[in-house]
Amino acid sequence: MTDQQPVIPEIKNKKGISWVWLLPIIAALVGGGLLYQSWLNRGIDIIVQFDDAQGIEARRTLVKYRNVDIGRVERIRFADDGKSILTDIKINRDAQRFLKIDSHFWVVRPRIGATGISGVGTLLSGAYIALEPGEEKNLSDSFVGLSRPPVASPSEAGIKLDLISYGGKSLFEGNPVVYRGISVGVVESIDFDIEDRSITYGIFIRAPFDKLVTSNTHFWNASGITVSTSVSGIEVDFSSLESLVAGGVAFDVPEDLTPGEAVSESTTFKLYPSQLATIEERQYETITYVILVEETVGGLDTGAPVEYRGIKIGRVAKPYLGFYETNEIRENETRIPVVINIEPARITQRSNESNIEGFTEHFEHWIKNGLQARIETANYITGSLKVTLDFNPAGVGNYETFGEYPIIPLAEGGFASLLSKTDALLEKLNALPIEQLLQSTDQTVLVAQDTLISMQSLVNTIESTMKEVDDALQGVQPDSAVYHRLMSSLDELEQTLLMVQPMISDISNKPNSLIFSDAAPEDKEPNPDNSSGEDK
Amino acid sequence: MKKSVILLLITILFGCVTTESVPETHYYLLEDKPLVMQWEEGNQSVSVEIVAIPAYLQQKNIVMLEQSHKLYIANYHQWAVDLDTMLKNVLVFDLNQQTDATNFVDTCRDCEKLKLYLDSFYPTFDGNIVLTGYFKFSKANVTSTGHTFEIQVRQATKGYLSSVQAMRKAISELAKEILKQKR
Repeated sequence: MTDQQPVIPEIKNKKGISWVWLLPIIAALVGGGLLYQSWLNRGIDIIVQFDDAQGIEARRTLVKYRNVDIGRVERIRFADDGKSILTDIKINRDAQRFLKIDSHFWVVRPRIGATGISGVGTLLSGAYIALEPGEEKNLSDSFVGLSRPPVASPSEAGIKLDLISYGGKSLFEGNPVVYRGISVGVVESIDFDIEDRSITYGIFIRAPFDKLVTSNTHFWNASGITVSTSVSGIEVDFSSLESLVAGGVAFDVPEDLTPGEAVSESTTFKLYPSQLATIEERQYETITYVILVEETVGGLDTGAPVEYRGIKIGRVAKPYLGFYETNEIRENETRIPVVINIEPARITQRSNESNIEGFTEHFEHWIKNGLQARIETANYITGSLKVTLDFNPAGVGNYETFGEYPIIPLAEGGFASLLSKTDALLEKLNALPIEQLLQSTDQTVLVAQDTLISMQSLVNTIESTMKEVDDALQGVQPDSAVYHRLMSSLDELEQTLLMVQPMISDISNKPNSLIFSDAAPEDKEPNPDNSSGEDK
Repeated sequence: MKKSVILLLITILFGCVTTESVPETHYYLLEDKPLVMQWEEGNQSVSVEIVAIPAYLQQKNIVMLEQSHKLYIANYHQWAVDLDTMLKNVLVFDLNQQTDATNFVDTCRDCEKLKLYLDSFYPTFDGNIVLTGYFKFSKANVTSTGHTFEIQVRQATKGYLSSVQAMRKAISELAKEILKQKR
């Protein structure tokens, strides 16, 4: 037996990492890549607050921008106060850049309004949340959704203005803003000022039409139809079919004004109730005068027209000056000072200061040459009054002032005025063509006589017609053939009935006589010999 | 049993078809020859109108007064034409035959009218013809007083034919009566 030495294995330490680890490393790298990819795709969580969740469903309702899906509603929950709902939305990471702090969200669903029907496409596809990115640089993850779609895209170029209205026909959001029949904008918002009792309409005018709005632009309510009469007939006017149906705003620069300067965002304009009101109600540069009235001024209101030979040239500023103000100017003044504003731009079609100066001089000259005022009835139904200006026949007048106001002398009124009116009436009566009228009456009588003759002729015609009718009826008179045929037929009918009568009598007495009839016995006969007492 | 039922039915049917001899029906006309009317031109026309005739006379069968209050309606003696039609035609003929002064016509316009109201016109069982009633003339809203008449004619022999002949004579008598009043 030999002793054998045990073999001791030689252990060598290898340098470096074993290839065995290569597979787990690769797996770890792939897993990490997948995690990173998942992180990249997990989206951005935002919260949008809405008044209610109508049309919104968790995990189904999509968020779209320009009809491209960019997110989805994950969850719907109540706000802490319970008065609104919060929607947790996951937005695709690549759409994060649209989540500006001033971005707008709203629910798109079918809507029917004054401006038409919208969101019809969602009838089949279901409602979705639309996003309109804002313009701010800062991003946000919390938004307040709009209760209805914005009437104008927030990113659209244009100008936003405010129109203040003190009454008239109401407008609605979405109503068009029209410039000479073309829809160039839209009414965006409506606010009512409780203190001022006015309505402020926020409007948006798209570019490039925003350049049409200048400082002298006048806006008016263009709802409905305007019917006016003129020498050319009746004119019916409306801005556009859309504004006719739903209402709208129109604007333009009056012809007597220059366009003016460009306006900035959120400039406020007055909204006139109609286009006519832009002429009647707008503020003109005025020259103020006073008329000292001895008669009543009941029915003379602020704004009542001041006319010169039928042309409106101004308005009544104050139907009567205050008591103390009058006393300060002139004590013991018993006449009523009526303050009027002359608006030269109404007749010059120009609105600049030189008009005022020029007309001030002109009026002074005219007053000295007999210009005088008269209080006349403007409307006989309502009893409203107006001021009319004209020259007196003498052509002479005094230029005086009442305090700071130049006086336009009052024309003679009262009984003298009544007499002159009576004279004028008598003159008109005298000028009436009475003789011609009488001749005309004679002619009318002659025409009436002709008419009566025609009527007599008509009566004769009717009479002859009646005779013809009578002749026609002769066809069925007793001596006519038709009558005889008719009578013959009736006779035959009568004979038939007479023949049937005994049979009916027999059947009535003996119903089975039709089948089992007994022959009648021989008739009894009349006989002269019977009178001798023969048995009957 | 079956045979006896069939025999019974045949007997019944035979009984149904058994006929009895029925007397012959006779038809009569008031006029014995065609009536040819002749009118004189220019004469006044008078239309004859039978306004009323008793209902029992308005039938084909000849009516006879069998005894007081009792009428007998003959079964086998009938008028060929309605009695009122024949009566009117015969009366018009007789009136025209008996006068030349007036033309009696069936109908005319705006002319005088002879209105006849008949109460009875029949033979009696004892061979008398009774014709009673009244007549009146009317013209343009003017009506004359009515005249009653009662005519009796004795028939010559037994039978309805003799009765009809006597009735024809009675109408001639009536025509005479009317013309008396017309004059």
